Amino acid sequence: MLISSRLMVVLALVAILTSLYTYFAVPFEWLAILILTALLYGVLSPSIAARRLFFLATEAPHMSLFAIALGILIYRTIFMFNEFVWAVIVGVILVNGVGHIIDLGVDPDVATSVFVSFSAAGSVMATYYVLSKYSIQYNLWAVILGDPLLATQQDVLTLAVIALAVVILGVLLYDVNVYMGSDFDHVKLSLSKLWLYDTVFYTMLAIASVALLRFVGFILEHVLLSLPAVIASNMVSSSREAMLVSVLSSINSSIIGLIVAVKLNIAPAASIGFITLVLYIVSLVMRRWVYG
Amino acid sequence: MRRTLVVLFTVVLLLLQIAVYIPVASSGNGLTIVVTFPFLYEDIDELVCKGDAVVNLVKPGMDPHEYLLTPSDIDLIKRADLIISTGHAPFETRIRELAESGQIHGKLIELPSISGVTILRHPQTNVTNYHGIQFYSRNYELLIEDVEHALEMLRPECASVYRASAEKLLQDLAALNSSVRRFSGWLAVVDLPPLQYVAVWLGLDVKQVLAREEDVPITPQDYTNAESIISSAKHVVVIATIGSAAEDKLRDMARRHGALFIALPNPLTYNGSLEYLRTVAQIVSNVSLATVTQQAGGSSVSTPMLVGVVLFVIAVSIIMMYLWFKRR
Repeated sequence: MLISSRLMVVLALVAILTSLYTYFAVPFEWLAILILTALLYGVLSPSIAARRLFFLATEAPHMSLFAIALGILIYRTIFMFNEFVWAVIVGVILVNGVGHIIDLGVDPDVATSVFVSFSAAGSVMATYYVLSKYSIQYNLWAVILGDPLLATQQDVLTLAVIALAVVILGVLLYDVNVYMGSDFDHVKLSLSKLWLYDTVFYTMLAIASVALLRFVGFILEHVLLSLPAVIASNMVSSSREAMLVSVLSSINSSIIGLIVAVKLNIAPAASIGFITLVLYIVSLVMRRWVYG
Repeated sequence: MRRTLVVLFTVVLLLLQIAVYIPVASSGNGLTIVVTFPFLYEDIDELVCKGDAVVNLVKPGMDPHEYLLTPSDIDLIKRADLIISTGHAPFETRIRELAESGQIHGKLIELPSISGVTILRHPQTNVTNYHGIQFYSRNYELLIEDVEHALEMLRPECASVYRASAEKLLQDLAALNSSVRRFSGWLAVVDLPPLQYVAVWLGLDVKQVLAREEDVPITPQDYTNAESIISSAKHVVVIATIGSAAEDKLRDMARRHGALFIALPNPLTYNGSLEYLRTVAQIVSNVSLATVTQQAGGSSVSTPMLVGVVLFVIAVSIIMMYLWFKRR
């Protein structure tokens, strides 16, 4: 272990203090959206790292444009549920599709390239139909960019439900994901329904990408899906501590990023991205310092 | 087999290249008039004479700010007799460059360059707002007059038709101006730059445009300024674009502070500016000031409830992680 549990206590204290300060300084919706998002991605990020699925995780937000455009198209055709539900369904199918193709032995780079090409071409086609054929009032770019400052109270409630489900499932499945990443053959022999674990994990990833796009945008998704686990891996050596450090660093960078955004009057996506990057550099320096 | 595939591939590639250059519009003996933004189409189409063809480069519902000129567009622009542009989107800048380099033989009318046009400034940044200039009625009049003069010069035999059509359009606008509901003395907060011109047309004093530019994320100060204006002013109207990122938030804000909220359609989904102004006038005439007080405090979710939900999620997460951490 590179650092002791004292660091986690410090990170937890900083998170509590900054949360309290932010609670009194900004509208509660901003704080709530960012804490819930950080919690969700903080839990998901170490599983992505353990499974070595960064390529899929960073592609998932791009795929979300296709899912959202297709979701609108499906809803406008059959008028069942709403656009959001269909976007999540499409996203879940797409991410599960590429994930299971990789599980079947297809090279991850090849599978991702095909997936990127398909979702990019599909996005252009679906977006064209959404914006021209139906001529409806959707600002797809606003949906893709997202903006936590524009989150409503209803958005906070929706995100709370998603975060709760992802945190519970993410924690319960974390050990399996770690073993799958380190000794896949052993897990394959030990678990009879491996595909079910995979499906749950890919579904969580898809929901976390598509559902949160509207709230936080793809810029924050990219940052928070990948960097917290990398920061954690620089600071601790065990997988269980990695999960805790990932969650704490994710929450800290989000809240400090929000405070910086308010102080400097800039978009929070930018400041949170930079703060997370600073935390990563600090973790890298700490790692070098400890190892010499 | 392999040779056949190579030949087939080459033929398909050549056909694709040729298809790109097939002309997409024909104006017969009349004029070819190209409009850049969808909301200019019907207004110009109302003006034209028999045989003239009006083509809009960007179709309604598409965002012209993201539009890229295709090879067939360039071909069309080069053949056009008159091009009418709002002069601010990236592809419109490219058209201006083509005109300046002499590659376009037709006349280019850019709305901001028309003499006498009023161009508003963003209340926060003081930067010129080029979005939706023609939604201010005087600007619309100047545009129609300028286009009508250009058409007369290009096709003198149709001068009387152009004049009569322009007069009719301006009469319709005058009728709309006299009947539209005005909000004199009221302040306004709008979400997107084009609504600044619409709000000014409605007699409002625009104090805040939430987005500094199209597709630019809002900053914390923009938000707090908007909330401060809405909460402190006695007579304030909050106007949002239907389907915009800020619509729900502004609706929520207006409801909390008992301000009047109006949702207007996105102008980019309209084929004509006058048609859009008619829709706005209709929506505004149906707004009841009596509903303002009813809106106050009508939120279905209270902040303490929201705090409780978030704390519950955090508590469950901590318990889950603690149990999982201890289990091993």
